[in-house]
Amino acid sequence: MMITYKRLFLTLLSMLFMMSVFSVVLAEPDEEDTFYIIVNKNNSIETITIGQLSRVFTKKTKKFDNGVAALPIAQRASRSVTQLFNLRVLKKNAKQLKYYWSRKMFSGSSKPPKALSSDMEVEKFVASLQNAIGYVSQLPTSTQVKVLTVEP
Amino acid sequence: MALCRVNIDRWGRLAISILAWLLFSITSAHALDSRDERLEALEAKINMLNQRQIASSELLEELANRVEITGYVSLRGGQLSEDGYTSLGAIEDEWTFSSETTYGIQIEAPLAQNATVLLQFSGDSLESQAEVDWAFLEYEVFPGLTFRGGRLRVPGFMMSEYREVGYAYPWVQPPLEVYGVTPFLRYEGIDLRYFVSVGDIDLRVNPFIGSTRNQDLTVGKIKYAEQNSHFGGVDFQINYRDITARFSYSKYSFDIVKATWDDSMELLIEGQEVVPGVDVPGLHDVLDALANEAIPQVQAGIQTQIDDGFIDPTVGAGLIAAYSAEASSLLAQRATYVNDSLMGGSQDAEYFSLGISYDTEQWVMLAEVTSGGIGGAFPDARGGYATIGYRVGNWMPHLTYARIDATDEDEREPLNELEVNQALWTDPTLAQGLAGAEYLIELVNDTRLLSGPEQRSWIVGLRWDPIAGIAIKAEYQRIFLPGDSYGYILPKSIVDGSGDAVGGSGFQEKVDTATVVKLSLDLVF
Repeated sequence: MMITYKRLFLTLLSMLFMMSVFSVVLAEPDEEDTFYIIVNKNNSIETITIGQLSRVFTKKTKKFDNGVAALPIAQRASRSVTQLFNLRVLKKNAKQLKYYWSRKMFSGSSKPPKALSSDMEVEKFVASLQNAIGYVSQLPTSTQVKVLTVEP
Repeated sequence: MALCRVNIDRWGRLAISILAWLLFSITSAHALDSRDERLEALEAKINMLNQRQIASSELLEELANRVEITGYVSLRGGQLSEDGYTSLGAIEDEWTFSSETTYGIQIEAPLAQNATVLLQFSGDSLESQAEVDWAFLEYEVFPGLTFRGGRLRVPGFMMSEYREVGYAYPWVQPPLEVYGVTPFLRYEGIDLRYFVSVGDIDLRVNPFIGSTRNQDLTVGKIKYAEQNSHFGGVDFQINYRDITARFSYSKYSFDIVKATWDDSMELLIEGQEVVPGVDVPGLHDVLDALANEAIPQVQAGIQTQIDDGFIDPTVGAGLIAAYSAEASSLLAQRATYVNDSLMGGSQDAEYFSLGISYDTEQWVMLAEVTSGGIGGAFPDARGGYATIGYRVGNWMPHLTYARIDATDEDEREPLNELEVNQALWTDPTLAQGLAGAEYLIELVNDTRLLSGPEQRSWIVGLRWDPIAGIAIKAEYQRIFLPGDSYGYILPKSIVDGSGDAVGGSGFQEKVDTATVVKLSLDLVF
């Protein structure tokens, strides 16, 4: 009997685990309804406007407001945080963005920011490069990066 | 009881298992169905867990050393409504998919810290070999200042550096009223690009200097000459929110060789020895022959008739004097037929251009004006266009008005018509010679007229972006050619040199209006 209850308990537990895994997957769109802009903790800026962010990520400007060179780092186009960032900040969908970059790339001018495949990679990148700036879907865990306040 | 409880437990476990699997399949199916990226997110999470141990330095190094290969294909097709004509040798009176098709591949490789090498090859259907569009080393001197050296393309127009890349603009091709007349050189040289921001305004200053060797000088697909050049200029680009403005000035010193224009003009006016011993007479030769040989012969004939008593001596003497005057008049007119409309040799050139674009989520507005040209007979022009487009989902209908006017018609002044006393030209030999001279003058004038572009167009187009990286476009262009101008709608026989069946010149009446329909499939990858 004990064994039976234990089995039942284990089954329940495994089921709960599975559900929790999938609930994370299911809940993700809600969680990723927001994004965080992170820079290296040694960067002196604390705030950034949507307009400045857009200019940095479209490489129209090469510097932050404080004069420090800006190195934007993106996430892969398929990531929902990327889609959210592109729509909210760059005000462009994937097609419009491709249109924009095709002009820059084939004119020997500039190319889109490198794209990493996860929040963790972006965090590491920003943590190790003083002039990097990136966006992530979750609050960063690294102490080497800080979250900027985004102003409209 | 025990059995019963076990049974319940067993059923319970079964039910729970079924429920679990149901949940599993529903959730996973839901995840798959609704959004692929959920699965991808899960993969990314697993990736993330796997990568926790990867040192960030490796990540940076891998990113920094990545060689990037990109490319484009623009498959273009079109047809001109007028039989026997061509739009600058590019669009024909039959449907063709090849003539304006372009493709290219670009390789970008990091060389060292702050230094990159970029190579871009491109080709089109008329070239047997790929051309090198870009091949340069870029070095970032400091953030905001880059130096480039190698093979570059002259900047200046909104689309001058990527005019082959169809995906990058709304139309099948940028309006020829602006993009048809400049040489758009690939050059060997250096440039600096300095980026500076003032408040919300971003400015790029791009001075450049360089030279070219043995490049074709073309308008559309028509080659006028080959040229060597030295030049320099500066290009300013300003961004403010959704607005980009561009201003450019460049100055050139050309050495123009193999100018087909000069060959034609020389042949028509001065005549040429095409092979040793075989001269093709020009206008000068014909007039010389008329004044110095044919007229004296007629005069000798009159003298014989006077001598033989067929003509009254006074009348005859008056006739002979009239012919002498006509011969002098011909020679005097001959002296005004100077072959002074030349393209070859040293020529200076300068170009100004101003462009503005407004690109929001919905609206696309583009306008450009340009002015300039190469000295001598090569056409100088002032051109401009304005485009408005509106994005509706994946579709963008757009409307463009474009026009071009030649500004140096005096570089290609028509020759005066021959003035003669018609009564004296009834003799068949004289009449034939006169017709020959008039024909040559007409050819010269038509050729000069043909090279002064004057054209207005309305373009209605639709761009469809089914997925990112692919665009399909359709376009309808109505062209108006005011006055004597051929604009860019030229008789095919002239362009391909075949001549027409009757006179051999190939000149046809110009058309006043024409329609061009174009389709394209553009990819970038």
